[in-house]
Amino acid sequence: MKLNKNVIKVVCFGLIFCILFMNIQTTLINKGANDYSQVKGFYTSKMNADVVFIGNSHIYCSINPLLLFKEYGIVSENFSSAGQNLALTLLYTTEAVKTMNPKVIVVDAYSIVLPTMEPAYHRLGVDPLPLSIEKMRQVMFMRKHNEEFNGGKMYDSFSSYIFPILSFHSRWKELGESDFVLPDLRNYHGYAPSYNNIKADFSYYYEESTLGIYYDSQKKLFNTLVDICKNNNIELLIIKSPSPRWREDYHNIVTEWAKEKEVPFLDYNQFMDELDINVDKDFRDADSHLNDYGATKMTIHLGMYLSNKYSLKDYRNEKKYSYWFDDWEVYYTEKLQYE
Amino acid sequence: MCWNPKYALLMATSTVITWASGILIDRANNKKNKTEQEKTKEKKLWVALSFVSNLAILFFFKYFDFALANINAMLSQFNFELIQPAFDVVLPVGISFYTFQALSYTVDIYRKEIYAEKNILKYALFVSFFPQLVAGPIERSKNLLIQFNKEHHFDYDRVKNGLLLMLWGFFMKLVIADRVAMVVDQVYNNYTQYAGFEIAIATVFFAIQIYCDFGSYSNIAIGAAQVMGFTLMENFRQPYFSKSVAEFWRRWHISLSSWFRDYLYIPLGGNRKGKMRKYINLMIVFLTSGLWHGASWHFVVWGGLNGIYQVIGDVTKPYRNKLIDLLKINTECFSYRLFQMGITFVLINITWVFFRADNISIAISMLQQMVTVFNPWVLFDGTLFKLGIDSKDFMVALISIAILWIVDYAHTKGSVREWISKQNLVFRWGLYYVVIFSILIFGIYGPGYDAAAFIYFQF
Repeated sequence: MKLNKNVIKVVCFGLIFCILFMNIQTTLINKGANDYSQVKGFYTSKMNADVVFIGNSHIYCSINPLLLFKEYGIVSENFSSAGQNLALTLLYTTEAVKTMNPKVIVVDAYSIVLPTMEPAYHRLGVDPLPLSIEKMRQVMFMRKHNEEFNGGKMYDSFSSYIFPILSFHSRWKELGESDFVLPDLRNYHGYAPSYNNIKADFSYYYEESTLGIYYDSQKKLFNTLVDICKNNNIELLIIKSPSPRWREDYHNIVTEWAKEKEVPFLDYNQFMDELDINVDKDFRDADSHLNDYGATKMTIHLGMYLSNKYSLKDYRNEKKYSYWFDDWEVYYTEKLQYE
Repeated sequence: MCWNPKYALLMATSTVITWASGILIDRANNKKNKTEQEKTKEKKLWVALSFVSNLAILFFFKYFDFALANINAMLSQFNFELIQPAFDVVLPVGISFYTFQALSYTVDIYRKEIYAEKNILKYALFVSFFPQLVAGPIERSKNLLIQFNKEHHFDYDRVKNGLLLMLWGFFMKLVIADRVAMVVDQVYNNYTQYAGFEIAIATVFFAIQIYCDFGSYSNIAIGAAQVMGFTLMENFRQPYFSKSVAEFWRRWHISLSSWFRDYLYIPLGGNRKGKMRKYINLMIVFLTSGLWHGASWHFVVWGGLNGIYQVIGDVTKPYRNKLIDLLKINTECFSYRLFQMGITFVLINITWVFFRADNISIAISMLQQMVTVFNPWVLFDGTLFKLGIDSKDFMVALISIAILWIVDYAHTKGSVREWISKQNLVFRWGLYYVVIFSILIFGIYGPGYDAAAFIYFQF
């Protein structure tokens, strides 16, 4: 009898410990600017999305799912993280398939040509994802990859990806309100608008750029990405938003790979005039990202392309999707403040 | 220190030698055809062989470099060619501890305090008992060896108490010792940049560091053993509450102090052969203890100072008592006890400077800098927060030291774990969670978070 009582006590103690541990660990994790909430928001979406956009900041700065819904009735989600390379895109793709089972996955071409990843960015991209075998495989891959190519001195230990508290426990000194109360960014569906504008500098577009020693491994990862989508009957589309960071050589590489696998590739850098992109007004920084005005132009064009090519359902008249209009109001009210 | 598994062979050698010596001493004891004198002679031979061979191993691995450096220093005085060693000697982890533990067995058999263990595996378990192998407590065969013959059953309360002691050990080590160590390392590794109160604070922090470091290992070892049903001896009993240096040594690293008392001080004659001999014996014990702590002269000076304190304390005792009578000082009040504790703490801290500094001349230079520079403003102008830890870590250090003090004080009144066990479940569990998460959050471990690595241009 006493033994049973003690077993119950131990089990209860363990359960309470686990709950406290998970909460404290989440509090301590570095959440970047809004990176953590942005990715977490994907898992708390109320409805499955037909289209999921995956990649790095070029995705979450350039595509506005709210505008896609308002203009075309497309239900979509941005599921991206800063500095994301192709290896992490594969994990995000797997997660997107598991979570949303989308009809179309749109991947950023810049991630396709990114072989390495800053460890801090990697953490920001990986920590918000739920613990899974795929996640740990990706961490192992990145650590091994980094070891092969960069000496492996920068990535945290494998165990710290299972228990991030091992890496972040000393962050207690800089905890802020957003660590305890995660900002709810679900209204934006992964979109991170900015209303700043800085003149973009496209003078490096023709600068020689190669994947060097990473060429083969990147191509292999790209083929895996195509296979994941194919195996799950998901259409894959590669896009590249207008960005001064993009290079002609990268365009050629992705074009070649996409052609080989018969995957459509839309490089908006090739028809910026058609989109009416203004380098003086449509960028939030000089070297990378569109602001909200630029994103609006690109999203309108992309929405048209998606609607025409994939015959996606228009959800605007369905009652259970009416909350999308509320989300649009939240976004639009904020936007008006900057006009 | 080296963790190479091949050094387990050394432990195996010590185990076999001391086990065999036990058997041989026991056999000599039981020889009926020999006189007591002959028996004693033979037993002494086995004890001597056991001591010489074990201490030779210890000497080679721990003191070879030290001895060679001193021989070379002497040779260089006379312009002789220096001896170049043909090999590197590394210190196998735990060698000082298990050697002493194994030797105590030989003596205990010689003194007929225990019977020789016939089963070498059981004896090997005693020498290599993992909870206390690396850093003690240095157990006695008469306490630990016999426990291997007892049956061990699961006992919820015993396991819980063992885990609680381990938890407190982890708190002492990860939250306190390793945090204050950053201040100590900063000041002691850059001692020329610091003076006065900075050195004093670093030294007080070292006193806390070494207590929490060593005490935590002992607590973890004792707790782990308790979980498995073994009782190990107490190793630290609130040492900084001591009112004299002699008392400090009855509370500090008790298993080592009592080892030296039982196996060196008493065989040397202890205090049975007059005052002068007692003082000589005391000095021998403390100089040896210094050398045991590390193969360097500054450890010898540290041990010597502790010995000198006790000799002076004993010599001046009658005069101090007369002075107390003359000035009509009340010695039965708290303030007097506090005064005694304060003086003892200061004296011990002076010895810690020699223990922590890299050599004697650095220790003397730091002591000079400490007492000749008066810079109390460093306590107020933020300098403290530039001594290796920032203001937030400093605050955690001070709070955790206050907790340490409270727990130590509570221990003088009784068992803290017993007190906890009498509280309501909500309080008990709340306390456990607070301690566990304090260790997880405020503990110094892991790669450390580099905020700078996460500072980026938002995208």
